[in-house]
Amino acid sequence: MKNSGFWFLLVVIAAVGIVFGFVVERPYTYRGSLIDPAVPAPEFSLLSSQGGDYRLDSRTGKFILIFFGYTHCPDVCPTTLYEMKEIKARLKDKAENIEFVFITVDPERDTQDQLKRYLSSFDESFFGLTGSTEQLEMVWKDYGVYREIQETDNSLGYLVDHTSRLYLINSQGELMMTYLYETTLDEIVSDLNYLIKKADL
Amino acid sequence: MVVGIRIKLVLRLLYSLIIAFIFGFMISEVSFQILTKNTEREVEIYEIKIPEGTSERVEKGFPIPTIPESMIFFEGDKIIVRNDDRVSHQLGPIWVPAGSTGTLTLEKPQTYSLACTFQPSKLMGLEVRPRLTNDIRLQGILAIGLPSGILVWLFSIVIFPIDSKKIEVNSNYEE
Repeated sequence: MKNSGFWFLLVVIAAVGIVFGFVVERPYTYRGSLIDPAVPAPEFSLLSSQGGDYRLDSRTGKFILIFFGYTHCPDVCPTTLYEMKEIKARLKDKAENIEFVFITVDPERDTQDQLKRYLSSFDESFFGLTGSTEQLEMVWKDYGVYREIQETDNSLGYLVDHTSRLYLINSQGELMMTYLYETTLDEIVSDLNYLIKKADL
Repeated sequence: MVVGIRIKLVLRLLYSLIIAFIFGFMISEVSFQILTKNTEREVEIYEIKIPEGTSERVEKGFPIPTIPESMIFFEGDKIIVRNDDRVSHQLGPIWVPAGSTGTLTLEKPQTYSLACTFQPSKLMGLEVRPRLTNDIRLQGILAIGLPSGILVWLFSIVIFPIDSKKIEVNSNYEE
């Protein structure tokens, strides 16, 4: 009885903590730009850094995260590939439900071997895709990829200005989300965790 | 005697916290009312439609229905872009394939300056401002109330010390 004040205080503090801690549960909000309804992802078949062809229509059953870039890129591409590697690490076992794909915007320099060498410094399971300029132009157009060669005087030769967004294709082969370069790792991982759980893969 | 002092300290802490939380509530609410005067509104959904033939009109230099080059939103607002054109379009952070709808919920304060395929300047600015929510109100009350409560309690002990002799006399009477 003598300690009733103490217990009352404890209950008050706990009540405040509960109100503060339990935010009303809200429906999940995607961090990326949602394509709703998801549309069938434009088909392509390109040469893979892992040998042979990579046909999109044969990859259903997994999520696919696509980035368009090139191996001589000095900034955005290595950063994004590092982030893709980090996404894979953070997803842990769930990462086996995702394929990470890097499609070149510089077919003149990015051969299958070049892509293989380059991607091995990030993650050997990543697919690097290349093809003829004509083939790739179709893919760039279908995915709304901007790409422009910029001549420079430095040792890298020319640079390629290009779109830096990530594209997410769901396990039914539908294009369902895009992410800006500015989207944080945590946000992408949060979406992927949610989607994988929802898809019950 | 020790138990008596402890009860007095706990009760004094309780009163200090109550006073400080009332103080915190007043400060937080006044700030909230001032700050939200011009910004408080419900979450809004902006729907933008890209009509069929827009890309052809852009290519030919014909005028097209445009949106402001700079737009201001608040956290939680949603932008829905319906693309009825035959090619994909980009409106700042939203890329929409032909015949589909792109939806972006603006979850965090940010300023975008991005490409827009149907603006004459090909660029658009988009500013997302923070929204003052009830969570922030509660955080404000807690942020003021808790430390103030502890301070009031400590100052009260220094300024009005607990009279241990009185407690001792009282406890002797009880015995």
